[in-house]
Amino acid sequence: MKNQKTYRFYFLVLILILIITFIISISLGTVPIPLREVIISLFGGEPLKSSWKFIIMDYRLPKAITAILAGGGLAVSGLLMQTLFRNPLAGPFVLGLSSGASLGVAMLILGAGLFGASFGGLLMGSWSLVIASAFGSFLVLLAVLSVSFKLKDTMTILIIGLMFGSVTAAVVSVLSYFSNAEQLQQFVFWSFGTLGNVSWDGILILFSCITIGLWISILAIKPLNALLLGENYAKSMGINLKLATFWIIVATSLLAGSITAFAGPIAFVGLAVPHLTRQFFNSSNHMVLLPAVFLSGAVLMLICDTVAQLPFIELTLPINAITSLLGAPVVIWLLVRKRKLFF
Amino acid sequence: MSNNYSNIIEVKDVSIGYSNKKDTFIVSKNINFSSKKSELISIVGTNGIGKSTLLKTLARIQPQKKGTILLNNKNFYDYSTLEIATQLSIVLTESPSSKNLTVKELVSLGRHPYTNWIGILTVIDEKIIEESLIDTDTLSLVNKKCSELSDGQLQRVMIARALVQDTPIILLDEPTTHLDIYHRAYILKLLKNLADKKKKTIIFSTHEIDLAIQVSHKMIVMTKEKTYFDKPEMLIKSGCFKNLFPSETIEFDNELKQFILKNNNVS
Repeated sequence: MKNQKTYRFYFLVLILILIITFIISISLGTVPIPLREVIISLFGGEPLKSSWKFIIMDYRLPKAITAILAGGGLAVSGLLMQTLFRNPLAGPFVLGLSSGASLGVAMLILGAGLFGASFGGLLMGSWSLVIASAFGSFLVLLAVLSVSFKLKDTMTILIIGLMFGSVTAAVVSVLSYFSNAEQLQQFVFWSFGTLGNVSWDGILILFSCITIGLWISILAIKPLNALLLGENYAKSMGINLKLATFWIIVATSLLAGSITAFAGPIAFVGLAVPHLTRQFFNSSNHMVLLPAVFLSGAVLMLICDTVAQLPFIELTLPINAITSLLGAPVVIWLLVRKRKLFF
Repeated sequence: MSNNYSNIIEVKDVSIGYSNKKDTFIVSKNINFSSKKSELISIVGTNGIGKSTLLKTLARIQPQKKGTILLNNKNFYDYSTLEIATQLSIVLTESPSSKNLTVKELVSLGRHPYTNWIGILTVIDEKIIEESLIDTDTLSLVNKKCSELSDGQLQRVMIARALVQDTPIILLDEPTTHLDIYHRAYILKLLKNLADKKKKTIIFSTHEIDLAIQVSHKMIVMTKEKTYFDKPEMLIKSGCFKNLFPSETIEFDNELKQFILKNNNVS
């Protein structure tokens, strides 16, 4: 175990990188704005052009904040899942959580066609998206977990998670088949994942959900650490396993569900970041890992977002594609280098 | 509190087993034994006779089916999960789920019943951890990961974790499996030491009957018909080990205090 000082140094570096990537993410975009003007706008001053201030405050800043919240939150939810299932391959995406969230949103957007447009319009507020998405992921996680209590083999649980994913995907296609073009487009764009469409109101909702999710995770640090030894050991050390499991699930679905609702299903961050962080921090202690994973997730998402914007070109790529493009090679590299993925 | 003469744990007419939705399977019935402070007790018997089930019942991982278990003269099931965690610690056959844990992290987890809500280790905790590492001769391993340890080292680390939990009773399920004869003897001597010097009550299951006879203060011998509990010498006198295995293949020699291969039907 490294001493407190080394960790503090790592955290300082991580926070510094976060600030740098945050500023880079805000300065780059389709409209070139000089760095000096960016910083002036951020601190409430007036830049040379008033349109710059508008671009930064109403578009780039909310996007960067969403990236931090989404990246950090997804990474933490991945960490929680890996510890809860004691499986290095667990993550919000692999276990069908994102598919569950997709199903919830699909029901809301596409199902609106089946129940009539006025009903759908009524439900289309941002809160309803969050609730539908969180509810969807909560249901899938509950289903996976109830199965996991019967089957002790974690590999089976993962396969079942994938099966749930397929089932929800199938339901989504059925729903798509019966929807009109406009609704379909709305859903497809949601499923590409985007960090840019979140308003300040939306950010407030996202921020609240993530704060609650993170607080529950912090309160669960002790049971999480105990679970590293296995369920029987955790119980023998005085952990109330059922209660702890319940709260870990609540935190995970709150984090993954709310993020998926606002930013769409974002792949790989939840799976890859906890592994990367474990490599750098060389620790399994959740007291260290939890903040480290959050920060690393935020940094990774900001980098992905910067890449997705394709600086100086007037195009933005879907964020989901970028995280997979960057995330998959990282996991492969880790596997090849370490030969075995520990969690 | 218990003094040296009163029973720390008392098992009366306990039946053990497991149940699914429909049926209850009783593995073993009418188990009786009791233990005082600073005693090393081994559980022996054939495969599948219920040694692990008995230990898991004592650890409250599995519910008992009948009878009473008293811990410090108080009903076992009147203790909360947290109170039990300060009374007995376990070393199971399953290795820790996370192979990425360092030895220090793993052993520190044993302080869980005593640490605050987020698990910060105090100076006292750190001291107890260091002592346990020294007692189990694992201090040099603190920075290693579980994946880098040999079976013998891992077993010692798991025992260190149980020690750190600072409980009067330690339960171990087959602590000597997968180990060579030197490490088996090493672990058993370590357990004996902990019982004698640290005043722990240690109950462990094992297949090393010969070695167990040498180190244990008392033994629990589980057979299909009955569960015996006595001092090793008394059990030998009563011929209890003679009936443990089919005698045409292997037989217990009362003089040598060990099992002898029968070579009459080797052709």
